[in-house]
Amino acid sequence: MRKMLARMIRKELMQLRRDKKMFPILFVAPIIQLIILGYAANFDINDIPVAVCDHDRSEESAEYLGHFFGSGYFTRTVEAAADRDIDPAMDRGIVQLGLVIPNGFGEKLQRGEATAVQLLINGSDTNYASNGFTYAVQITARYSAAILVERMAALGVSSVPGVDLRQRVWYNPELKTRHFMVPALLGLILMIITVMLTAMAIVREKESGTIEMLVVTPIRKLPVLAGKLLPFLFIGLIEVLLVTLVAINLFGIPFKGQGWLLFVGSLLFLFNTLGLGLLVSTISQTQQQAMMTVMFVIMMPFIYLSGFVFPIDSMPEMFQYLSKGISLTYYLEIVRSLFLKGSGIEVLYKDFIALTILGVVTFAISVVRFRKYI
Amino acid sequence: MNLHAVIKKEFIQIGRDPRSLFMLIFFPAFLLLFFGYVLSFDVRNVTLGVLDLDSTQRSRELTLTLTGGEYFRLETMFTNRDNLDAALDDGTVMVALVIPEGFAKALERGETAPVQGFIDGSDGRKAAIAQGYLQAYTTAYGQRIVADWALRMGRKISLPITPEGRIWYNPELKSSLFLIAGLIVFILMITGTISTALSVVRERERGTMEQLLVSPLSAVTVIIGKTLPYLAIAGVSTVIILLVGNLAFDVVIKGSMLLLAAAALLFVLAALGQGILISTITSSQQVAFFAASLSSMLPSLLLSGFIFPISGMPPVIQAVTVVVPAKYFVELLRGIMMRGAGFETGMYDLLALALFSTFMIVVSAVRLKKVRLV
Repeated sequence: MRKMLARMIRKELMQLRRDKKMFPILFVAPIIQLIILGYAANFDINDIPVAVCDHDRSEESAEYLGHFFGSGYFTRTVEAAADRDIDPAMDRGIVQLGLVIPNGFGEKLQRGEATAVQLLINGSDTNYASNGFTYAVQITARYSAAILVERMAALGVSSVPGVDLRQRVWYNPELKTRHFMVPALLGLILMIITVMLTAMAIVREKESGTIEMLVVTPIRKLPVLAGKLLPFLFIGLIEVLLVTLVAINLFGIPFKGQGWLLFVGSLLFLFNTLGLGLLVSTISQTQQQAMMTVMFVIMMPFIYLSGFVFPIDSMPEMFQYLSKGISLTYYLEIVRSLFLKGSGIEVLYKDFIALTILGVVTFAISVVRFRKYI
Repeated sequence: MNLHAVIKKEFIQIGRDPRSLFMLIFFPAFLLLFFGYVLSFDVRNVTLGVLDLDSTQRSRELTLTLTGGEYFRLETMFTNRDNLDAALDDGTVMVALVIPEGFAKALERGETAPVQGFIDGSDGRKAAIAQGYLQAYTTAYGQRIVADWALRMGRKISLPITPEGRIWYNPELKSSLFLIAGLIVFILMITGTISTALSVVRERERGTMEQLLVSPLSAVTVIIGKTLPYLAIAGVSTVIILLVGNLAFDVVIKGSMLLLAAAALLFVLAALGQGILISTITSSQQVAFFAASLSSMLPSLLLSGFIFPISGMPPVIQAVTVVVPAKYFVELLRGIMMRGAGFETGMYDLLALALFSTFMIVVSAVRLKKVRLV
């Protein structure tokens, strides 16, 4: 029995190795991808290009602008003489934000009256727009509050009540999105490679008819299945190791958690992905069909609903429940917590349990289907 | 005439696998429908925990101010500092606010009362936005306190500078607009590059390519005949995506339809060229899939500016994006759909796409002549 299994695994590895380009593409390509994507997957927004139209040209407006651009979030890219000069710069995507200071801005401030500035936001990039707007409002509010205090002081009031918020950021103090995205790319790469590889490898034997041959041999069905799946489990685990090494050494992302938790979590996640690959293989007749099914039915929903880029908390409630049925959601939670927070088992046990349940269910369904088919 | 026969053969073959055809044509639109409502980069319902050591009307007022809108959701009230640490650790809350004892008294005396905010920075992007919200809310609250206080002293004061925001092009910051461009890119890449590469390699795997090539057909005719049906499928799918976008999400194409068609055609030609190129260097569908998806799909999603802003990437990666055709295509699509761009504003991007498609077609044609497809 054990011998049979060993032979099946050897056969599978031989088959994979027969295509000389297989191993480079399995191990080298994802690493190159990780490196490029790790640098690219970055939401950090600074130096948002801004067009300024200063109708006032007073000392006050210059001071406000100095404050605005001194924040480091914005770059003064275009000087517009009139409001309409902002349009073409926005149209061509040269600037993301327009700032208009009205006539009389300085005078009104001097007289202690209220005035307004206009912020024009390029909404075609929603992420940019909402961030840029939030920053601009924040800077203006703080500047405005400072003026208020000055005014009160001028009136002879030395102390004005106020709330002073001191914020401290934990786990990722510089708010680097990379520290959040690179560990998540591990989940993505692992999912794409193992689900697709498993599904295509089994369907390939179906296509060429060799799976029937395997089944009529004296080997029992389970060793056949295990022999087909175990090599992909090894490949997946090697992938985890490689990606983790790159994340730590190249991107300088500290791994704060315990290694064995990553190992166990990855094992459970691979259990899920292999099960999904097997499931797809039982419902697909050709490799192209398998590929299409994996891509549209598994990959897209997984990428979108797992919290990989789109925050789960902001989704409609129904979809928040859907995201709970996706193994990648839990794996990302585990990987990110391990890297960034160094969480222990007492925090992560729920995710481990969820992964186990999902894995068992997926596997049970696919094994039943696999047996029925053959 | 010969070409005609190859096209017919390919259509018959595609028709034999209705599931894949169905997925290629309808699934992208379905995904758009499904996810268009869900996906958003907006940060809402940030989980908040408050440690109120003051327990006065004032401090409760501050908590109420924060949780009054849709930005923060009060998850829990802490009773001591250990609770707070634990909740940040296990992810129960993302933001924790500490209102120290003496908060109301300080405000009463006209002093500045400190409050502390702790933020889980793991998700850098979300944390930066949450930080902004927290700052904005406390600033607003502080201003209200000042106004109350001034009123009591018999003075009426107004906020010196109010920022007035106006969002252009996509005033509701709808992510569906954002998504449509990305989905079109995605589907064109799948049909163009991946399906083409797989369909050619499949014939090589099965040995039917040999039969085609010993027929009086030239290799180029065979390849063109095999790719044109995919071009047609891509076209149909794109039209369906746009229709769904229009019907379900009121996405109106503001710009030139002709430009859109020209851009899509050029982009898909580049994708087809890439697919053919991959088919000439791989000999199994598995490897072809990974080569195609790693070289086309992931860069199109992550290096095109579809999800991650290009200006936030390091210079080296920004240089890499110059050779990602999807970057120009996404830029064009967004321009056309949201800003009503026409040929004069889209010229540069269109030219870049034309260059890519010419290059890809030429290179793949040269490779086709050189390699023996059998």
